[in-house]
Amino acid sequence: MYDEVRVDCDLEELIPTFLTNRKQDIENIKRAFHKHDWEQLTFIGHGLKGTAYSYQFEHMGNLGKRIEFAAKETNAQEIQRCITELDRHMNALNIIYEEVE
Amino acid sequence: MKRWNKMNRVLFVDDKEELLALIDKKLKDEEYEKVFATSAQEALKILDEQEIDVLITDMLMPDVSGMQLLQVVNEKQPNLVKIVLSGHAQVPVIIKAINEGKIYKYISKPWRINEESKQLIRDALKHAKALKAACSCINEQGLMISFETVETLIGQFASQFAIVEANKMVRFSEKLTQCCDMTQLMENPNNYFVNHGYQYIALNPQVSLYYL
Repeated sequence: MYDEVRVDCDLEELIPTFLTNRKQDIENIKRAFHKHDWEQLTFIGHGLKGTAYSYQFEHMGNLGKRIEFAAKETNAQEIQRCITELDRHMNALNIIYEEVE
Repeated sequence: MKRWNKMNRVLFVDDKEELLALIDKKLKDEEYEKVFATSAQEALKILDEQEIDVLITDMLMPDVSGMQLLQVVNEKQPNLVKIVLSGHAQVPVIIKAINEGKIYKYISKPWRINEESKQLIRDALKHAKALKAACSCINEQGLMISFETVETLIGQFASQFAIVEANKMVRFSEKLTQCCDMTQLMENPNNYFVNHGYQYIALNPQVSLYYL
């Protein structure tokens, strides 16, 4: 089962770097979560939200938003759920490039 | 000495290189030079070295925030046209800055670069030209040199424009008479222009320039 994401074809050559950086974000989230570093989790979640939405990765952006809010409320269970979902989503991504406008 | 040429320049400031790369791609066909900075410090250096027409900055950045950058820029280059990019959490601060007349427009994040936002930047560049023209019409005592000079300068980039003194029409372009309800306009020029989306520049406390 794939998670289909439709992306502007103008951005195609930027996507490999985008994905590498998101994998790094996930590693950083896991590290911060292990240390219960809520401030760092808020910061990474906020960045993930902004970057993913800008690149049209809506579900990933929503997960970043959830992490940002959960970290503000020190909600460990919600962050664990988001990490699990991020891992699944990254492995299931099927990117379709299309013309926009 | 600042580097200068006739091509318009827009400076984008965001600490995330990925977002600057995305902006570069999406605006590749726009006819202005795009300059990028990943920090407020880098942006200030560029502003010292190059002639920049429009500054577009993120607000949340490490070390020096977008708001701090704007404060420095407002002192050093008060007539630079500034646009801020920000999420909803910063809205109260941004509204205050807009109401103080220091920010031209606010773009809500995440920024989806579409035709509307491309037009917004083109309008900002037009506004930057209008401001430069207006500034060149005002002498050291804050007075206009002549209405004719203003008309000549503004006419180079806007077909519809008017000069209003104490809410009375003083001069206006022919195109304006073709596009506006002149009866309604003459009754209350300031209200008319504000309600119809014209851009505004105060030439002096009594005299305003409106253009579209």
